[in-house]
Amino acid sequence: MNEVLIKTSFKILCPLLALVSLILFLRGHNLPGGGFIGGLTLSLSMILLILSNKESKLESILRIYFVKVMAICLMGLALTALFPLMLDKTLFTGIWTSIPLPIAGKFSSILIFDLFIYLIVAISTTRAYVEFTDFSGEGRFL
Amino acid sequence: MNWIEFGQLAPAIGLNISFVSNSVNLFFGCLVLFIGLGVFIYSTAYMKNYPEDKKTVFYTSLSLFTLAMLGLIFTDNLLLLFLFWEMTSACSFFLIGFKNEKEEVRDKAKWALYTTVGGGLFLLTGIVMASQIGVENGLNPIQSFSLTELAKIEHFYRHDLFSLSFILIFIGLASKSALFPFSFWLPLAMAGPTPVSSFLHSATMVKAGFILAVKLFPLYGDQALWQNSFIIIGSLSAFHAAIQCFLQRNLKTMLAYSTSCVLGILAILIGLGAFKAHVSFIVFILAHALYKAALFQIAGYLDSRYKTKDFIELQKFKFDNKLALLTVVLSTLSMVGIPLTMGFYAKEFIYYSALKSSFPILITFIIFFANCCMGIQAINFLRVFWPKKEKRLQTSEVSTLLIIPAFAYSLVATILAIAPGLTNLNISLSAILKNFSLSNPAVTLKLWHGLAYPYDIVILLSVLTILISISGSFLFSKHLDKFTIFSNRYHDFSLWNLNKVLLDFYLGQFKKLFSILQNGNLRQYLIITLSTVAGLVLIGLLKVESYALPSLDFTITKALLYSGMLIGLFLTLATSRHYRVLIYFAISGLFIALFFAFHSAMDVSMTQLLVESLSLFFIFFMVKALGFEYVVRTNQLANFFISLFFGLTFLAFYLIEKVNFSSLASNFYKDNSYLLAKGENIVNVILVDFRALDTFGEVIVVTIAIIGVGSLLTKKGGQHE
Repeated sequence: MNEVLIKTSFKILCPLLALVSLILFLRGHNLPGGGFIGGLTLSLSMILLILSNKESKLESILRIYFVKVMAICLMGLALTALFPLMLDKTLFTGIWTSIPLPIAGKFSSILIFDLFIYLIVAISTTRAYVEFTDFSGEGRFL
Repeated sequence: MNWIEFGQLAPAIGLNISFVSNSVNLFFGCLVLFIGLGVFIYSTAYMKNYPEDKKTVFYTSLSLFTLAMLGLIFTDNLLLLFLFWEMTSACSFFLIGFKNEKEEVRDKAKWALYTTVGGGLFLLTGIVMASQIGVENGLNPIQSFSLTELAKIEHFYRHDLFSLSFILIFIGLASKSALFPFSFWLPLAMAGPTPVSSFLHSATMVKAGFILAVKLFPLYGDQALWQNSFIIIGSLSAFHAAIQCFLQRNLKTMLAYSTSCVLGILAILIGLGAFKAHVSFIVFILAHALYKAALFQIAGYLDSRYKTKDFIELQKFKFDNKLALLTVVLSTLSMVGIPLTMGFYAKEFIYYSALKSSFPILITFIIFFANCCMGIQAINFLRVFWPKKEKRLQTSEVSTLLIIPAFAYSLVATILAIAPGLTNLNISLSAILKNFSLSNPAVTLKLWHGLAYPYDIVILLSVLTILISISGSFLFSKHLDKFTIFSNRYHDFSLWNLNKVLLDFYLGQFKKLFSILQNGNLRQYLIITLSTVAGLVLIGLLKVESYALPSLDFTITKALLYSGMLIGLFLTLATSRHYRVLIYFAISGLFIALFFAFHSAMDVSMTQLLVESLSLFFIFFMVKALGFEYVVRTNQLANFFISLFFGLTFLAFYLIEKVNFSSLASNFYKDNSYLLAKGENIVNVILVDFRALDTFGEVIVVTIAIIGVGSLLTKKGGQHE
């Protein structure tokens, strides 16, 4: 009985947390939030998803594609950092455009940089969680 | 002048991307690309039987290595050069240690890495000093790392740092180019696959030091220090390597020592500094790269066909491959220095410049000795293909691709040597020398210079070298037994052992230290960390003049927060079930998060909150996995005192009356975060804009940590990344 309650609440919490994490990430440049905090929140949401669903696809996706996704994210991060060189600016300089975005304000290379941090933090934390639960033998504690 | 110059990587420390294309750079670049093309073709055949993932590693490292080498050649910025320099060291580590399933190979690759990367640190220090000289002569930070700008300084050598910077750079250079006493890593690098050896030894890795020397020649070249260092170290390396080379029976090791020998001679030549010495330097590099790459590849071909590298063994076989025979004839004759080969021109110029030097007899003798030793071994190599008794043994079929690149090298060398005028070699050499030697006479490669002094002695020495090489080779095989005994004895006292003893001692001491600091006991880590931090703070506290109690204005909110924290902590201490301890501890953490929020540090508060909840999840599973139910509390009294000490030091730190923290940094971020980075959240602006480089590094560390966790926790036989 208890288990059902907890699992159902996790199922409700999970998309909410994902939404919160997205908002936190987007508003990060002007209000409390940002890639790191957003990423941690997203990973919490993903952990809840894994906890509430015994045969979650997310877990196997994380196992199979982890290295590739991380490689793409790090590559993207490096390219974002190198991009200003093309415009004859110093490495890591933020490039701002006038394209408006909801919550975030304006679109910029900083946002892309933050996006990759968001993804890397979220994915790697969740992956570490998956490894730990796997190590504990029985899989999940619920 | 500048070929490519775009963007500035880090203007504050003088790192900008600039590449210069001049005739010297192009010469080295073309050499790397030409040899590299052959090496890649050779690799496709040589690497055929390795699994796909090993091949991926190999080709990635080889391509990166080539890229780093080209970068090193063309760059004009000393810091960028250093980056490429270390990149070649790192890539060569993966290439040498390619057969990493053998411990011996891993060890050898490690030693090569230690030597070259360690030398790189000396180089970096030397470079920084050189730029310091530049700054004090009125250059800005970016210019001060630019070679072209530094070369414009008139009295570069007058600065106090001149000698020290040269010595440091020279140590880096010698370690990379395997000069005495660092020459031991070069034979160790033989542990790598043959294409790697042929690439590293002919045009790339070991030539990197000389490429640097050519670049630095305008700065340091006309000083006695430069000349003496290069001549003395070069003579020592050439002499030492010549004896070692003479004592080898293994084809690959023999070639490795002959490379070491050639490097010594090159060092002497660049030290001599006269125009002719520079001509011979360039011609010798060209000749050596072409014959050495070819010979290495043929040695690899023989090895994969007959399964032995011992040329005395190989002499028993009968050979039927005409192309390989032709290649070896052309290459070894160039190595001995028979007329109408590149090696001949190189030797002529070398003997000429040695005779014109300030110590003609000594230098000429050393070079003569080295040439004879190499010549004997070259003839030994050639005799592998000598017509001999019919003895056909089981051989394995190998691809002709193992011979074609080598043949191309020797063919190009021969065409260049036979018709230097036709191939524009003279004009090209003159152009190269114009940029390098800073003097401008035309270069002509001639077979016959007449018999006027010093050409008469040059001719005599050349003929003698050839004669001794041929007769020495026959004596060699006649007295093989004595020779083997001597070879073993000499090897025991070689430099490699000395270096190994020294480095083993050094690393052994570190191991002892780390066995205390990193003994795997988490409690001990905590004790060491806490007492070190508290101790350091305590040292600072001793200088504090006065303490004062801060005004205690307790509001109800504050009181609630503090009591929440304290209750959490007390509950943690009062229970001994692991799960409860974790939850109580997390409660106290939540109150700390609230405390941050109360002090309007929203970002810190949120991070604290998330980290608390996530670490609760993680530790929960660890505790479950390890099967602990109750917390075991040992050494309570000692732990109590350590915590008390830690707590009291920080309390005292809090009570200091006046703290003069510099507010420069915080004011900068406060003032500029909206103006420069267009963000109102300073924490985030610092993370993704001002200190984005740090974030970049942190994210990489996170990734590596997770991969580490994955590889540690993955069960045997389970899925592996």
